[in-house]
Amino acid sequence: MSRGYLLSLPALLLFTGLLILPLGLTLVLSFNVFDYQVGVKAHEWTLAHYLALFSDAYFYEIFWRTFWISALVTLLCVVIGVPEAYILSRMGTPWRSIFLILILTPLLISVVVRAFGWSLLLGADGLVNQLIQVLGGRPVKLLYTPFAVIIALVHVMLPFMVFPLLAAMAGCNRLLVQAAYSMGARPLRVFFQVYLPQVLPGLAAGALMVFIVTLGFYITPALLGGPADQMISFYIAQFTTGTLNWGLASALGLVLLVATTLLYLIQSHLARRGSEGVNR
Amino acid sequence: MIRNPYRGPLAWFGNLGLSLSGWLVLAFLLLPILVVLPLSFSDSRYMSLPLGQFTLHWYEEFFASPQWLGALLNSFAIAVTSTILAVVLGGLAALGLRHPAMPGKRLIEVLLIAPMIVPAVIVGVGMYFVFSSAGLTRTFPGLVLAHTTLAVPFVVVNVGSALGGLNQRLLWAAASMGATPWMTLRKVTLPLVSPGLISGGLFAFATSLDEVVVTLFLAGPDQRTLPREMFTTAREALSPVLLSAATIMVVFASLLLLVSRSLSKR
Repeated sequence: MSRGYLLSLPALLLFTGLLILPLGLTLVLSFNVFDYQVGVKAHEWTLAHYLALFSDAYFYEIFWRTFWISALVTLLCVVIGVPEAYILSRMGTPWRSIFLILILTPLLISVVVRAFGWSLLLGADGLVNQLIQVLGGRPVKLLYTPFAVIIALVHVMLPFMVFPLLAAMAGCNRLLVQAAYSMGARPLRVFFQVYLPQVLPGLAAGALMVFIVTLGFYITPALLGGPADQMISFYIAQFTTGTLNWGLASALGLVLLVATTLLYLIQSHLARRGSEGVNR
Repeated sequence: MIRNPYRGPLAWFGNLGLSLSGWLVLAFLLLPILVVLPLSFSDSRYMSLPLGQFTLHWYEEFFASPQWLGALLNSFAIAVTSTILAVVLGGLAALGLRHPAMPGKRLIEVLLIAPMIVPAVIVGVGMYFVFSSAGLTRTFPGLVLAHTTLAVPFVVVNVGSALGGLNQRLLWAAASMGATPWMTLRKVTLPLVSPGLISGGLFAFATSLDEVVVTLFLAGPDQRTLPREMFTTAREALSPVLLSAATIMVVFASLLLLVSRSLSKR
C-alpha cells in the first residue's frame, strides 16, 4: 500500500507545484484587493472582483456570448454528428476504419493550424468567396465574424461528438429495431421510440462534453473572430497579461472553472449511465 | 403485410442521402487542413487560388529564418524532454495506483487527469501567477515542467488501461519462482505494459508539440515554439511562411498517427 503512494509521489509533487498551487493562488488572488498602482495587495481581502463580474453588463455580455456560441456549436455537432455516427456504425469493414482514421486525423493537428486553414478558406479572397463569385454572388465578409468562430469550433469539436455516439450505437440492440418493424411500426416512430432512447445517454454525454470544452476555447476565437466575438478565455488572458488586473482575471477564471467542473460531474454521471445502458 | 424497411425506393434514397452526407462531413473535416498543402508550394503571395508557379520558396524562407527554424527545434527539445518526464512520472504513478485499497486513490486519480478537463487558459494563468513569483517564467525548465503536467494524464490513462489487462497471477507466478520485485517489474510487468507506455508517450509528445495556450503565458523570447510562433504571426499579419510551417506540422502529426497505428497493430 505504502509503495503505491511512493510510486505516485513524484507525479504528485509536480502536480502540487504546477496544478494545485496555481489554482490555489488563483483562488486567493480573486479575493485580494487589486490596485492599478501597487498591484495585488496580499493581505487585504475583498469581494469586489466577483461583485463586478455579477453586476456589470459588460461581463453579462461576455458570459452570454460564451454560452450561446458553445450552445450553438453543441447543437450543430449533434445535428451533424448523429447521422455521421449512424453511417459509420453501419459501414462495412474497410471503409469504416478508413473513415475513422480520417475523422481522427484532425484531432491530432494543432488548433492553430486548423484555424489558419479556415482563415484561408473564409478570407476576403478565400476559396469560399471565390466560389460565391463564380456562382454570380457578391463576396461576403466571413472571416473575423461569429460565423467563422462557430464553423471552426464545430470542426474542432465534431470528433468529440462522433466517438461517444459510435460507442453508444455499437451497444444498441438492433433486434429491438427489427422487432418494432415486424410489428408494423413506421420508420420515424422506430427511430424516435426504439432507436433514439437507446442512444440518448451516449448522445447527452457527447453533447455535454462538446459544450464543456467549447466554453474554455481561446485560440480559435482569437484567430478567427473579431474583437466583439471573443469568449471568456480571451478576457481571462487579457486581464492577466494585458491590463494586468490579476484579481479580476482570477475571479473570471474561477467562474469558468466552477462551471466546467459542475458540468463535468454531470457529464461523467451521464457517460457512466450510457455505458451501463448496454447491459440493461 | 410486413414492409421491409431496408428495401424500396424510399430506403434507397435515404441510403444515398446518408452516404452523401457522410462524404460531405468528411470533406468538411479535411478541407481546412488540406487547403494548406497545395498553397504552400505556390508562388502567389496572396495565399489564394489560382495556384501560381510551383515553388519551394516558403520552405526555404522557413528553414533560413532563425526565428522559425529555432521555434521548430525548440518545440522538439521541449516535447522530447517533457515526454520523457511524463512517461517516467505518469508510468510510476499508474503502477502505484494499481495497489488496491489505497485510501485517497480515487482523489489521486482525479488529480492526475485534471489537466485534461481544466480549461487551458486557467492552467496557464495559474502557472503564470506561480511562475512569476518563483522566477520561472521565460525559462526552459519552467516550460518543460508545464508541458509535462499537461502530458502526464495521457500516460496515466494509457498505462492504466494496459495495466488493467495485466493478469495478477503472472506476478504471483514470478514471485513464487523466486523473482525479486525489481526482476518481476523488468521481466513481466514492463514488457506487458509497454504498449500503454508507447501510446501514452506518443500522446504526450503530440500534446506538447501542439500546446500553445499555456506556452503563450509562460514562454519568453527564447522559448518560441512552432505553434506559438504560428499563433502570433497569424494574429499580426498572414505571412506565406505560415503555409510551410502549417504543412510541416501536418506532416509531423500524420507521421505520429502512422507510428502509433503501426505500433498498435504489432
